[in-house]
Amino acid sequence: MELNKSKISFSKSFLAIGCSSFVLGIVFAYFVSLPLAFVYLSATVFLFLALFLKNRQRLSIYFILIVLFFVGMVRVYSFNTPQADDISYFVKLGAKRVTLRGQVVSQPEKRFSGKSFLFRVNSIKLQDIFHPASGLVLAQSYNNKNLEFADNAEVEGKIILIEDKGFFAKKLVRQNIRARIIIGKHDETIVTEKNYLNIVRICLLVRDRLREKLDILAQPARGFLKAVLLADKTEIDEEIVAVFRYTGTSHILAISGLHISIIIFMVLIFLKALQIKRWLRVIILIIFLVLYTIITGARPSIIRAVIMASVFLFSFIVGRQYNIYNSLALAALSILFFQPYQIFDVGFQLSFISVLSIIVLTSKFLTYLPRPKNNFGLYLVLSFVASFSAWIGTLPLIAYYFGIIAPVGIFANAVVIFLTTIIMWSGFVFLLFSYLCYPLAQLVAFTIEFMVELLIYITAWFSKWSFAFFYTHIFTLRIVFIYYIVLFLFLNIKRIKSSLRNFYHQRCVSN
Amino acid sequence: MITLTEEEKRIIIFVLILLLIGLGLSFVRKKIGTFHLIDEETIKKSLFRKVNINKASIYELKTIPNLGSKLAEAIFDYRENNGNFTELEDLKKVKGIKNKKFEEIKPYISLGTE
Repeated sequence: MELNKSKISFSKSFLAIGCSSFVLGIVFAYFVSLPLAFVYLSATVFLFLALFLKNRQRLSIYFILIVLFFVGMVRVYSFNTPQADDISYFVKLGAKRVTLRGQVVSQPEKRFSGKSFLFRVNSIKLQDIFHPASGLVLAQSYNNKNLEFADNAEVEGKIILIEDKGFFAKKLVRQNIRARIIIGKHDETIVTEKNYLNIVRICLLVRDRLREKLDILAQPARGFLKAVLLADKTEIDEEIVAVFRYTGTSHILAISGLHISIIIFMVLIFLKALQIKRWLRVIILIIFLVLYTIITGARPSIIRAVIMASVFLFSFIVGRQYNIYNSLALAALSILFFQPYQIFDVGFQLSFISVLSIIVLTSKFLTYLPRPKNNFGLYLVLSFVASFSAWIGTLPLIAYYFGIIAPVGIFANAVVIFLTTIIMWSGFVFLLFSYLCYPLAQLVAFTIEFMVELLIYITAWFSKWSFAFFYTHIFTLRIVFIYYIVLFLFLNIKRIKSSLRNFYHQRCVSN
Repeated sequence: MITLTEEEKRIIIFVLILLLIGLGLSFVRKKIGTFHLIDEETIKKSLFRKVNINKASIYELKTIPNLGSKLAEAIFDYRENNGNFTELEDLKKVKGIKNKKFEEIKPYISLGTE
């Protein structure tokens, strides 16, 4: 009977287990280099075995997991191998001053005295003839030609190969950016086509308009609201970021599930007021979330939250039961398939680990606590337990990457999340009034400025606690692994005990 | 007569509270001028902990006041290639760190030997 139960949960969460296998494949491929043909062949063999043994369900599932492991490896190897006409090959062959044709694929941003953007190459000019080429280059432009997202352009400049050395360079290579072009003051840049109807371009235009509206606010409220509403952290002071980091609350500055859930709630109320049918409301909401993801720059934590929310909303329309592990896995797969090296990104890891620990640990801890009698009590207990769960889950990663352990985060999070929710709500009211009635927007602005200062004041107060945070360097990669293994054993102690009991019982019977 | 749902009533009350607080704060500003609950100096003091430049991760190095992320990456890369710093002055060997910058960050760094 117990076996049947485990079978059901195994098949229900298959995507989650398959995703783990895919992730293991990516990590393995990062450290071990095997011939691509061998890995590809192994994947095919195991796939045939799985199909051949489909009557023996459990064995077949194990083979599929092995296939997914190899698929993860194949994905990394194919990601690492540039195309035959990749721009980096031309640079290796000696190209120095070049003219490239292609498209601007990121919003140009101010960097040093020029502008920096990503350029997808279509062709390269060699001996006055354009030859087909591909790949991404990081462009640093010092001339005053105003390039915008989605513009097709012809750029001239000095091209340099990015070597896999140094922190910034490694980060670029992991995004498949293998060359950079420096466009000097006198180098020519010609815009060949303006794509005004590009959906991403329109979204970025909306983001710029919203940014302008938020400019009415004084600092630090302006920087804070731009971070939590538009994922733009350029105007938030380093000191303020540090306050949140040292109190274990810095996740609040990066748009994630919390922010997305607040936005969903607000949009749903708005759509409900318009008396739109329920299924149409859900579809509009999903479209809105996709556009919002583009507006906020499609960072991993946003994509994760939006995919999870969309799966939840979609399951609601089609009447299927929602499996949170599978939706988390789908989000991870969607990101890792296109960018496998995101698995090594600290933001990606923290985003997924925190959600996973909230899902797994909160329900576990709640069983040890008495159920509160009123809603306020329930809210307090839930926020504290969720905050504690996220803290336990992310502790080794934060200690490993940032060298900090912040026990104060357990308490600080409950307050910070509550205040941020109100500030976000107020931010939307402010944006609405800024279009409808400026004097009212100004009044709301005063309130927001006060609330943001209050939030920073309280967070800074938390950081003054004697045990608030401390630096540590004991968390090596090995200790991080041991920590998660111990945590896993602790969570499954009952299952392990019963398995061991069954094992001894069977041995006694057979003897 | 428009009938409002519970949620709509709550939203209207929330907006009214926002406006009321804003109105009160605008009066306070007129009387005493712009005020701040917290300033940069207080924040810096509350966070003050020396960063061990021999063991700090890239993210920890980025938290050193007056340094900036570019120089933090330069320190990290220098340490990766040349090993630990034996004295604080060694930081000047890192590309981009001159005397002035060194003096600015000196109060916030340590070698972990103290």
